[in-house]
Amino acid sequence: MGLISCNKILTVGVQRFDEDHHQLVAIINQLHKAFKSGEGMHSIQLALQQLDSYTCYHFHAEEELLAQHDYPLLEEHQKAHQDILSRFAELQAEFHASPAAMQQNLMQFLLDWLISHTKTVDQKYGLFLNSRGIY
Amino acid sequence: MNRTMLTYLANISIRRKLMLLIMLTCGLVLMATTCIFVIKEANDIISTQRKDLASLADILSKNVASSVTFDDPQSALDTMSSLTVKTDIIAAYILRSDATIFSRYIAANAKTKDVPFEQLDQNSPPADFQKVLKQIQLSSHQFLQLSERFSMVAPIQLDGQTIGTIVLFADLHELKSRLLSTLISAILVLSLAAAAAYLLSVRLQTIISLPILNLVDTMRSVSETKDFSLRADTPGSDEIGQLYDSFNEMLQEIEERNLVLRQRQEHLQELAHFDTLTRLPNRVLFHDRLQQAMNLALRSNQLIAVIFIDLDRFKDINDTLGHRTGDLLLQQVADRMELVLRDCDTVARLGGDEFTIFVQDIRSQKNACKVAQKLLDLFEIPYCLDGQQIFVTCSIGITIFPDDGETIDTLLMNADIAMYHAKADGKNAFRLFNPEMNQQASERVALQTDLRKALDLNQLQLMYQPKFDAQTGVMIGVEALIRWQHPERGMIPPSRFIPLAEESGAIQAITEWVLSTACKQAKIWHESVNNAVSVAVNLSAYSLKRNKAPVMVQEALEETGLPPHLLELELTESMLIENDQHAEETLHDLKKLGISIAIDDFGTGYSSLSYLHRFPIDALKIDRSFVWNMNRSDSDLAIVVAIIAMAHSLKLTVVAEGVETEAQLASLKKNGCEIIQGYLLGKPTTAENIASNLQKKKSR
Repeated sequence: MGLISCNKILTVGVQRFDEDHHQLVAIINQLHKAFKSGEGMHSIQLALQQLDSYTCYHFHAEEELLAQHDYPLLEEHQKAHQDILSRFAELQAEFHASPAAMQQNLMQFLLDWLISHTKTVDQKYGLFLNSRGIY
Repeated sequence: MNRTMLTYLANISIRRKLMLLIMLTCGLVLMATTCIFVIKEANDIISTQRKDLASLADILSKNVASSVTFDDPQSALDTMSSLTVKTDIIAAYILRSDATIFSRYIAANAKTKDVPFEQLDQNSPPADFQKVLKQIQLSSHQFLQLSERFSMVAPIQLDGQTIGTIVLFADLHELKSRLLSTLISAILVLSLAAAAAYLLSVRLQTIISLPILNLVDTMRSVSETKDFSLRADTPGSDEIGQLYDSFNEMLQEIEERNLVLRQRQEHLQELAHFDTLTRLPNRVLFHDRLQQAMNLALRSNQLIAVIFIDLDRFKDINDTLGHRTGDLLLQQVADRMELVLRDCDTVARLGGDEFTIFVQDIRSQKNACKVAQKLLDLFEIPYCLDGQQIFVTCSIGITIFPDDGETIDTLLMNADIAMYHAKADGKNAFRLFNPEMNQQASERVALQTDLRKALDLNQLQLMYQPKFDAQTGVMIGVEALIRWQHPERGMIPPSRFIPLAEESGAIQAITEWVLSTACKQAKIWHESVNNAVSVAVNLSAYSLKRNKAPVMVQEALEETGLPPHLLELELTESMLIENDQHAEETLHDLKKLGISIAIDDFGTGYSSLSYLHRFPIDALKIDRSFVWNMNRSDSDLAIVVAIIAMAHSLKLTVVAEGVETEAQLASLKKNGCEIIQGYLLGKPTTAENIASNLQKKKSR
């Protein structure tokens, strides 16, 4: 069983985004497993790539759908995405500079992402989209 | 009577009241008008009759005047025969001036028995006739004559002189029938009017009663369904309409108040069941859920793991970073723990830095351990608080239901015990509960209690282990070691009771006692032997953390008058590392007092050169494990050599602990170790023995 369980805490109520979030959890669990079994370095590179494409795709999809439905907190949400992306960029730079410390910084970043973004900020748009009939 | 009447009236329905009102009013009015009408009619009829008779009498009297004058009864009779036309005339009498009958006319079908004149016969004296006449005259003047007959008296006059009287008797039958018909028609009209009024009133009273009944219905349905969102439709803006409006307003108020109350209720529920800081379930809710889970598990023969989590050194984090940061940390810890658990598991905050989890549906102890390991893995990841990166670990205790306890209290208690073992074993670990722990736990509690008294009961003793100069073999100092002579359990080693003392804080008093005793002893040796024999005392982490060391030492020195250079404090390497911020300052303060400082168990921690350089220390004591292995393992030998070299480069003296063989001694000497301590050269012994050894040496 992976480190993180996909439980209803992370559910936002919109199927396609819930699936995306499950994917993020899967990346995190995979990464953690790799760290535990000592294949850290290789996995970090892979994970960073995965996260890169994930953020591009998922954030864009979220923002597009929310803009389509005139989500009132859209700007705030976009800013949150921006913050994650910039921190992510920092981490990527750090990786090239000192790969050793990456492990913990990366995990910390990912957990914070789940807690402060997926669990809280994304939840807000869940009800909004549901009220527009999107599940 | 009046009372019951009023009550009755008050209790009949509003419909009936209104109709009663309307009908009563109508009734009275109708009655009044009908009566007036009937009376007027009656009056008319009677007076018409009277007038009629009066004029008839008048005419007759004029017509029969000549007959009377000429005493011609027959002509009078002829005149009176015309009376047959008038059907109501019963009899007519023409009387002479003396009241005797001159002529009479009797109608065909009349009953003459009761006509007063018929009761008199021809030969009655005139006085009788006069009497009868007078009676008739009297009665005829009454207005309302209720007898069967009506009588009219009129004088017969000729040239102004009364020559006789005419008396007419009329039947009242016709009058009566006319009156009756008037009355009947009046009653008929009255009834019809009343009926019409009734029908109208039935309709009209609904103007008032219907809105009222509507309101009553609405109110009743509100009471029954408790639905305070119902409103009644105002029928108009009259007083009833205002009543409606008032009710609607009242319902609005109730509805709003209900909403507020409901919200408050929900909030209270939340407060009662959830921890306000982390928003995790609190103890109460945890109990509930666990109880339910236990019931379910019993039925389906499943296991539940109860996991107790205590954050390591949370108090230190709170002290150094502040309570606000501490709270932030707790929140983040709670958030992360929620992520690694399944939906059917519950994590709760019991208070402080203690959390507890129950995991349902586990198949074995091993699975429970996997969960605990997940948690430990989770805690490897640092937290970012106020821009600082903080590492926190935890100690975990695990119990299994129903194996380790059948009630919640037992399970939690045992999990706590297991957690404590994890802490004692070095923290950042998990331990499964086993029944021996219980035994150990109660023992621990007993020992702690005893320890508190041990000092007062003089159960603590100091032993001294001598330290020798490696080259000369001279005893240059001793290390003070504490022993506890427990009345029942015997000699308890410091490794057993010092951690307990640290936990309860009793270590403070103990250290003070040790310092005082050791300094006193050293003073005695100093005065008696005049050799520089220093005494080394072990400092506790507790005292170091709480900055009590400098004050303690100063007091001990002042109290005993020992020259400071004869006192040495030993701190373990790990103590230094864990408390480096405090330590630096404290050590400088201690150095100012003139004592020397040694690092104990050196090599077991992971300090670096530059790190050591910060601290004002005088000696390093190589941990006994390296000494023990130095001749067996090249790496350990290398470590010993390296430590000595490093110490010398920092101008520190090296003490080797646990030297037990000549070979070790030789090796250490070769490599420049200055001081030797160990069983080979001297076991820990009493102060007296040390004193006598010193004497021996002196005398040599």
